[in-house]
Amino acid sequence: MQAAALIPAPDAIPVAAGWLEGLLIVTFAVHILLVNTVLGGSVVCTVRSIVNRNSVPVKTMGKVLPSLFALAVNFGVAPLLFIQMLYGQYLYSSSVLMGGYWLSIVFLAIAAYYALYVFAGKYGVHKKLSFSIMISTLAMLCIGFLMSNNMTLMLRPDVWAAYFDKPDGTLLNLDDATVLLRYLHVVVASIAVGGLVLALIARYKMSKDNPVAAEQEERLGLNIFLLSSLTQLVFGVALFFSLPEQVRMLFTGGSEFYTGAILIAFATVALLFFQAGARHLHGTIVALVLTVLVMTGIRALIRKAMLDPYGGVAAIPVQAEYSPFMMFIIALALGLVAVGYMVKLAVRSKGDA
Amino acid sequence: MEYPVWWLPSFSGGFLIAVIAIFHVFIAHFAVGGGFFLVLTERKGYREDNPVIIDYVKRHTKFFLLVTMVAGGMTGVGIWFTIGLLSPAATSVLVHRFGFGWATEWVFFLGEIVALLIYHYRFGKMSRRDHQIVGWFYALFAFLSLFVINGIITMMLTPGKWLETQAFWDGFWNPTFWPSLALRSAICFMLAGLFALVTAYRIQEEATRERMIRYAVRFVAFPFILLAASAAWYLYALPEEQFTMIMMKSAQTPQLVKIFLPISAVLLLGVLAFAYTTPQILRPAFIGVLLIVGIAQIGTFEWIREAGRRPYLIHGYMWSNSVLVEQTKKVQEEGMLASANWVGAREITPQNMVKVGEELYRAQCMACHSLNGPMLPVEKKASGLTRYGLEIQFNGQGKLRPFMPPFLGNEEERSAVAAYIATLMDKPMEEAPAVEPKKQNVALPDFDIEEAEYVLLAWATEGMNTISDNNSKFTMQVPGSTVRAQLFLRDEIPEIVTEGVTITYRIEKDFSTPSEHVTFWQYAKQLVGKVLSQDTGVSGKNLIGTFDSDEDNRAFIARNLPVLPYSNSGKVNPYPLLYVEARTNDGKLLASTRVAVPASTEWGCRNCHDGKWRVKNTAGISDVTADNILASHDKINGTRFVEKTKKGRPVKCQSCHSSSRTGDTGKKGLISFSAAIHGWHASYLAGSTDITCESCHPASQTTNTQGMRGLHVDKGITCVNCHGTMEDHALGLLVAEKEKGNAGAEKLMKHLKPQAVETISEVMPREAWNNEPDCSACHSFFEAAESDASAVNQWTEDAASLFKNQKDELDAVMCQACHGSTHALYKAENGYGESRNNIAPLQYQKFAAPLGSEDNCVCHTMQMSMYDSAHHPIIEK
Repeated sequence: MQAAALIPAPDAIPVAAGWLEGLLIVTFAVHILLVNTVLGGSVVCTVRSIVNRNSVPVKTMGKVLPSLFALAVNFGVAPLLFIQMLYGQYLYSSSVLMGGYWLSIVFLAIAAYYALYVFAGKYGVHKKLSFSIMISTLAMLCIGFLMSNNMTLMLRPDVWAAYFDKPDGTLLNLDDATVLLRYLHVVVASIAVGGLVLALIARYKMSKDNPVAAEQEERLGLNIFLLSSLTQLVFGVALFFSLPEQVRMLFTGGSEFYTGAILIAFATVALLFFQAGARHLHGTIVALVLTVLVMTGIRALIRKAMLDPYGGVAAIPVQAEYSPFMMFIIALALGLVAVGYMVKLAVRSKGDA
Repeated sequence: MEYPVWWLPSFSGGFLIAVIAIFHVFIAHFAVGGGFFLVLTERKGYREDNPVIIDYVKRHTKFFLLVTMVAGGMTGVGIWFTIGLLSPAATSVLVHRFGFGWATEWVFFLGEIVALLIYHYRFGKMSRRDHQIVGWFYALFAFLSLFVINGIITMMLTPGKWLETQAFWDGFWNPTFWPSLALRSAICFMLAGLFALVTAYRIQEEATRERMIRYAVRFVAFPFILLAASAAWYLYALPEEQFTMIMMKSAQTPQLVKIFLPISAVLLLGVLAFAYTTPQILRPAFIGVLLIVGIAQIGTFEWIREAGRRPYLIHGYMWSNSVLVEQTKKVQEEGMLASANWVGAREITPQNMVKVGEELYRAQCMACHSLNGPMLPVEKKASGLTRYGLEIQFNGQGKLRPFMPPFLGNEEERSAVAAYIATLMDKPMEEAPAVEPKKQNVALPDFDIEEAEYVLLAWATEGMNTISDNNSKFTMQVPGSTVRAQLFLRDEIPEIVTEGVTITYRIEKDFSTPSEHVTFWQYAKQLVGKVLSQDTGVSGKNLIGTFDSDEDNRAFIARNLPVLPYSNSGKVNPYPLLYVEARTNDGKLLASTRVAVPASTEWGCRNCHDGKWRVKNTAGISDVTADNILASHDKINGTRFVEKTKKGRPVKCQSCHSSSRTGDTGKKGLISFSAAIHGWHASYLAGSTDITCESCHPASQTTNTQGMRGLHVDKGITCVNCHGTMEDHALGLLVAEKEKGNAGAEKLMKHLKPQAVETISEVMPREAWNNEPDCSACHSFFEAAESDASAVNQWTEDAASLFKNQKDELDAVMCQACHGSTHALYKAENGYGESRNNIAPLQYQKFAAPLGSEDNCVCHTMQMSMYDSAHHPIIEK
């Protein structure tokens, strides 16, 4: 069976693909940063809660994780929507191939989310091991693994014919070397960000009450970040070499754009190490955001390179309709203003006046 | 068709989406109404300066957050995952055509989350004013979410102008946008009130608790008026097609529409009872019941909306199984295997048929039907059909029962899916062939051409007569075979004898007690309106008796003899012999002959409706077959025949559907029996290359009866030459019914295209048993009929003009006397042998051919030439 024969015809998109790709990259960057924060925070909480049943930073972190989880999910919706608009014909197909696993994400997310609330409520109150945070971390790790599977399976129409032997939605993309590395890439990044969150909490929530402990925690947090990021270098390089040769070649001179992009990525990574090494917390965060944004772009470039042989974005018909797009932009602008305003009210108002 | 289908046999048919969606909308509507409830109640608390109320709002906020954000928000995302898996093509249309609607809704979702988190975590830590502003923001964002989603979801049911333009705003502002928004808003407030009770009854301080419970009840009560009004508005805003589907045609929604407002009223009464009469101790259990009623309420609404959309996912645009409506014709012509991306086989062979059937089932049927699952399980729905029945069902699918889409594939593919489903139900691929008839020579009475004074001719007026024999279930043709006789006194110019003689008959002994084999006599009063003695026919004749005078025809007649093909020795023979004798009034035998009386019970109902033959594996309608038929009638027409027959009250079809044969006038306004049965089945059997008549009537040589025999068969004439195709046959009857203004005729005609003429206006209306094929349509007596001659739409004027009632040009000899019965013209031949089918010719002229053939004019005692016949001109060969 020819792989291309399996690919459904794309539906027309209402605006030029560039808009959607841009929105996809930006919203995904925010999503993955929030995911890194929640997963990393959760991992840190899991590990710390085993050794310390009443740690202040864990308690503080535990309290914010559910809200961050909600935001992470919310910011997952937008890229999921935009990727469907751009690459729905690939994504729906691969999702069906792993339908059972894909749908389980919803239930894993509910479990992870509730468990975070349980942890936030229970940590420090009882003395037993906090299974809730373990459950949450495990559920999130599963979600990530399944996400990595689908995001790579959608790029591999050449393996889709496996469906005919196994149409029951239980396929995974495990034969693809990139899956595990992509997954580890995100998990290790999350642990790094978890360290950063710990450092942030130490600086802003602990330093007043216990400056010594705060300094220790901040150092620990940054060390976690640095160590994880060094590990990440290994995974990152391995991931790069696991890419199909024709894709890899694009980054090594095959395409000026691709090569330029990877050089920018190297630069942001270098900046990140520099900032973290110098223990500049804010600098590290800025460099991290930059790096994630650039890496998200690289991810999009890899996807493009993988799918171009099947027609890629150029094959998607455009049935222009800009007024709904304008509605979205206006709603987004007003929505962000409203969010900003509400945050301002929340911050400025004090007391039960 | 473009996408792979998740093979989820048991939980297919929308089970997953139903569970996730109903749960989600239940909470999501609460989330919208609850936003207003929170901030309004907070304001109330401050106004009344009641800290208990504020504390209650605070606790309710936490409950609200946990329920709406976690269960509500996550299942909302879950719906996206689910529809993307179950209907990727439709999801893709929604995503692409309404992408920025969803994106806008995402912004509102973000606003909701931020507002609710601040509202919850900063409760009591902000100024009252600022906190309420945030609360209002939450309510606003939640309502805007509903607003946007409402536009897109209603589009799926009533796309309106979107079908032509596919423009965002045409779809968004569709005909049911506003009524749906009003209805959903009402539900939102009702659910907000309902959920408020969950926390309100836990308020410790009694006075405030009771006050807050009653306050919450108002959120259920006042919107009820809006709910009732907008439900009516919604229904009347529906375009006609959707309206009739929801209110009448769908198998589910009419009932659901009827219970929606009552369920809502139960919810209202429930919360009133909760507030005013329920003791505190019972409230925890009672609130659980009320929540279930709440789920039932919104579940009913969503189910109506979803099921009302059938057979589409997007009304008029995409069928339930994700095939675009505009592709229907192409897929039906070229086949789904040639059109779909995700099928493993492109060709059907006998070896892979079942496997391909499964693939096609997956693509065609699984969107709505499960296998052994809770949603429309196919093995249950199809249990009353055979494999052939399934093929026929697919052929007619979506025509008369429009909640299913047409079968999207070609004839071969219909056969493959039927094979697959039949395999699932352990039904045979092919039915066992009919029991082959045995040749049975008839001992012919002597006829001495030199000495004999008389020629006695007797014949059954109908060469094919099929009786329904499961009279405990239903009867569509009562036992009754009419036999005529003419007695000729031989001479140069013979004389027809009509007086001074008695013509007697008696059935061969083995077949003389049909009452031992059928329950007709047991139910005669119910079936024919009078008690009949055993083995007596509806015209009062027994199986031994005397012919009556048939003066007009210068003949004798024995009407409605209750002949059945069942013998006491256990044989089945649809042509039992009747011994006929002519005697003088003082008993002297003048002449004798025999007639094979056609009386088959081999109705082909079981070919589609399953079940075995009732008798000897040869003929008769079994209980299983009959029950399947009655169950179908019940399901389609709302009758309760299965139940009735179980109580010993069998059905006679003509008691509702009139028939000129039985003389029943039926129910006023209903179409006649023949129009109903042919009209209904025509949509299913239409377009077939086979002679579909033979699916039901035991005409062909592959049946045990082999009813269609004789001269016409030898000339290659089939049912269709005289009666037309199934469509023509049905349309003639239906047009007549339509002219009479009888209900249902037009519906049955809707999908029938006449084959013999171009348009329906050219179809000649006819009534069964009176307006039948007219011999003169093909036979002029001066020219041989053309080989492709057709008698369709040239019906006899009335019953008197039927072949069986016609005489020669001398107005003396009946046509059938020399030519034999309709459908069995001499020389007739079938598996029962030459002699049984040609008794008169063999008796009188020693060879099987119309009497008088080759100048054998046996009534005349002088040598005659048949070409000089005065009976009618004969074309010289």
